[in-house]
Amino acid sequence: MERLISIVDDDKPVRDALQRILKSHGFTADVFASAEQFLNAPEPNRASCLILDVRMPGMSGLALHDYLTAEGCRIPTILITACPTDDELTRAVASGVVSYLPKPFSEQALLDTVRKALARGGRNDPRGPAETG
Amino acid sequence: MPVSDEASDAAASAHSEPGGGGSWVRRRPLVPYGLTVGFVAAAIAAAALIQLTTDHFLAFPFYAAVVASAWLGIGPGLVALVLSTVVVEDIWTPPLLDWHISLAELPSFVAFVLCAAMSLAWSSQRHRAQRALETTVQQRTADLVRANAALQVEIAEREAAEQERMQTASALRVAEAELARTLRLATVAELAAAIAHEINQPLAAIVANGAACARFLARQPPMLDNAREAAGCIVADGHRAGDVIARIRSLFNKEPPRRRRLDINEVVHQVLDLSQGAIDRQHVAVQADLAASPLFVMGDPVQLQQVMLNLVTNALEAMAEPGVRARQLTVRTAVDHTGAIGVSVEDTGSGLDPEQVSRIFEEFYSTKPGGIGVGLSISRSIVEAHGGSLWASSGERCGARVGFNLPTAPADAARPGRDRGVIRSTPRSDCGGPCR
Repeated sequence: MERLISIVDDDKPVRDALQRILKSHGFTADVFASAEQFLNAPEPNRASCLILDVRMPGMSGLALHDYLTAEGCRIPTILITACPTDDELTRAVASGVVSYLPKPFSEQALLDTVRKALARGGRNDPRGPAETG
Repeated sequence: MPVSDEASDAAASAHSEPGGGGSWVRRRPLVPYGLTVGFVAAAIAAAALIQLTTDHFLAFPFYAAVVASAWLGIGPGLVALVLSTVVVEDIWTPPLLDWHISLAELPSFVAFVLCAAMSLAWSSQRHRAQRALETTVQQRTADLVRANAALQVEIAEREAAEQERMQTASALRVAEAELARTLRLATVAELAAAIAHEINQPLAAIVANGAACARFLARQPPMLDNAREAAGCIVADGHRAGDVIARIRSLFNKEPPRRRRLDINEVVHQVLDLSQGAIDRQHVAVQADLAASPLFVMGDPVQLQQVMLNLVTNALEAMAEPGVRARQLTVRTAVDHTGAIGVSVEDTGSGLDPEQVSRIFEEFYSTKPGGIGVGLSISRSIVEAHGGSLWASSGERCGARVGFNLPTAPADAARPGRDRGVIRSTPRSDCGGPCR
């Protein structure tokens, strides 16, 4: 089965660029402009990895992650942010995300994190120790 | 022996003032009478001595004994009078030890008794008046002591209240300064976060698109359309980042500059007035060497005030550091040899080293602990927008000297202008200042 990566970011150039680079590496990625759009998609839980922007209008990336976890939908999640703070990093780690990546991040950092997330998805252990970007 | 009324008064008075001179009278009521006998005996001795030497009888020692005894009370006075009368009649009026008084001796004897009685009356009266006066003085003194004590308490209360007020005012000033600093820092932190967010978004897209573009080009055969699309996105995101910067700059330049003809000396006076509180608090001596005639420039009064206030505030903050002894702020205005108007502000703080002089106008560079480094860079852009330049150097003896030059307003410059003037990006190289 093909591993799907869902990208949720309100900034269109960013989400398109991420989709483009992931596709160039052979991944399948779909994009959403908001947490609400992602939740309203036909099968949100079929993604094997989520890349969520933290600061978005409406529900934030961290809130979406917490909501999905509470609903029992444990998809390995990477948080990305253009405005990293220590406080947010602490909360992200506590929420069990795979990584908290400050923008801009390198291609290699993205690929390493995505591969780690996909591997964790195979172990089905989203509450494992989180790493920061 | 009975105690007279007078002695009782004295005793009562002595009782009311412990430690006073009459307390012994109360404790030993017989002492005045003993003294009275002593006085009369002394008078006898004195009269005998006088008679032996001059062969005349003089009654004055007995008057003195009566007066002195009356000072001890009316009782002792009467005793002295009787004793004196008996002694004079019996000893000095012949024959000796005989109560008979000859007709020839009678007038002088009667005169003696009358004089002695009048002495007694006078002395008693004086003594009573003296006692009344002393009592009054004691009462007044006691009143004064009470009033003084009450006054001391009131003074202490006022001093305590004043000290408390000073402490409150001082604490308030510290809190105000802290609040202003916190707000400034919070605003800057918020601004920095917003700028970081706005810039990092396009940067993230540029990095990802750049990587994707490289990968599309590395394919065999190269995926040129995809690479072209990614490159186009990089260009667009580069512009987007540039637009963010332009938007941020426009935030600070919303108002077009309003120019009018104004006297720079007035600006200096206004800013010194505004800073008077800080100047007084820091005990800074201000020396204003201002040109005698008005120095007209074309400018926005508020912006130029902002520049001047920034220079004065920096100077005051430089002298607020511990270890600065003589705090002097020197403000000068003058026309230099090129006809430009120069303004300088000099402090006696710790001064600037050459590296600080070269960097002081950079944005986010500060020599102050907790400084954010935007004051002088904003001042510089204002001065340059006015066609002038901002400069800094070390002070003449110590401290720092910062100032600016502005072109003189043309004589017919009454009309408002909107041109931003020549922008010079480098500060004056000679750093000497125009105001020697």
